[in-house]
Amino acid sequence: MDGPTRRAVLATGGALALAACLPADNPQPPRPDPDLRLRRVVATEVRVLVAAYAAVAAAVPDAGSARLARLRSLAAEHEAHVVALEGPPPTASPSPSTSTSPSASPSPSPAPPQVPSTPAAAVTWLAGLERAAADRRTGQVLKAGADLGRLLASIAACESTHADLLVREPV
Amino acid sequence: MSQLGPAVRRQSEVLQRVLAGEHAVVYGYGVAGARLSGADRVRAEREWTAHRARRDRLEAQLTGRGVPPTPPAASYALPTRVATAEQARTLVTLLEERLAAVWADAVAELADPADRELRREAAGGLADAAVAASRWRGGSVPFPGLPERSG
Repeated sequence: MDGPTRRAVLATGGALALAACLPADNPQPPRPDPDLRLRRVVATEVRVLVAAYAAVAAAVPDAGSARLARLRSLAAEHEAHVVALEGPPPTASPSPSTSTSPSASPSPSPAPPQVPSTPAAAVTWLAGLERAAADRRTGQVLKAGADLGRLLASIAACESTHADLLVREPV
Repeated sequence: MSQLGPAVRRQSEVLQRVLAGEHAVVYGYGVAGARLSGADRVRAEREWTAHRARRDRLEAQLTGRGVPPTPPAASYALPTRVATAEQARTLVTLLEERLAAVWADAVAELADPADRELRREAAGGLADAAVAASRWRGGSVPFPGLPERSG
């Protein structure tokens, strides 16, 4: 939009016409999908849970095979959450600055957690992590758009389920 | 003639859908409970009570918006036969899974800032149904309420 047109709008007056005109004079770059950042935040948090399960499996010395299989199945559900969160966004094309290969993705590896030394305490610890994750997730649901909100609510429900199973049927 | 604003109208439609889901689950627990005994019977009664409380709350929320809550149907076509305790457990698992999906869809539909509190409740409804389903099933699923991601 060039000068004469703008002057004409201003000359006819009217705040509405001016307001409608200004954005076109000052075009902004397309805004990034606000859910994209939230997806990444949640994926990073879920990775911490995956790491916690791995740490328990590695640190609890007398974990029987049934117990390990159970922990692995719960951890696998969180791995599915990460995949769902990091799946290709439906519309956004990758920008040059972020188009690194998936294997080189800069996922911050969480510090090794301090795992309680007995199986019972370790399972209680995992249940607490799951419950805290579900609580945080519910807050994130309120910040998300329609589809991501639905996904996050489902992940939160899964985390609540894990916390319940770990407490009710100790691994 | 309706005087409802668009936000209240949308919220009321979502509330009616989840209310219909809760009605069906309350009915299903009534049928299944008769086939259960012992700890399962106790659990079924507890869940039945919880679903009735949620149903009552939904009805109050609709009434508060000036919308008459839709009453339950006289009976519901159940998705499974319920002649044994095993079938009763299968039925309530299925009903909780379906209810979880209704609540999950409500979370998607309640995405407006004006829906914030209802959306929080919908997430809670989904979590409660998911936990109940997992107790009946004896295990978890990765995406409760999202049938397109199951299996």
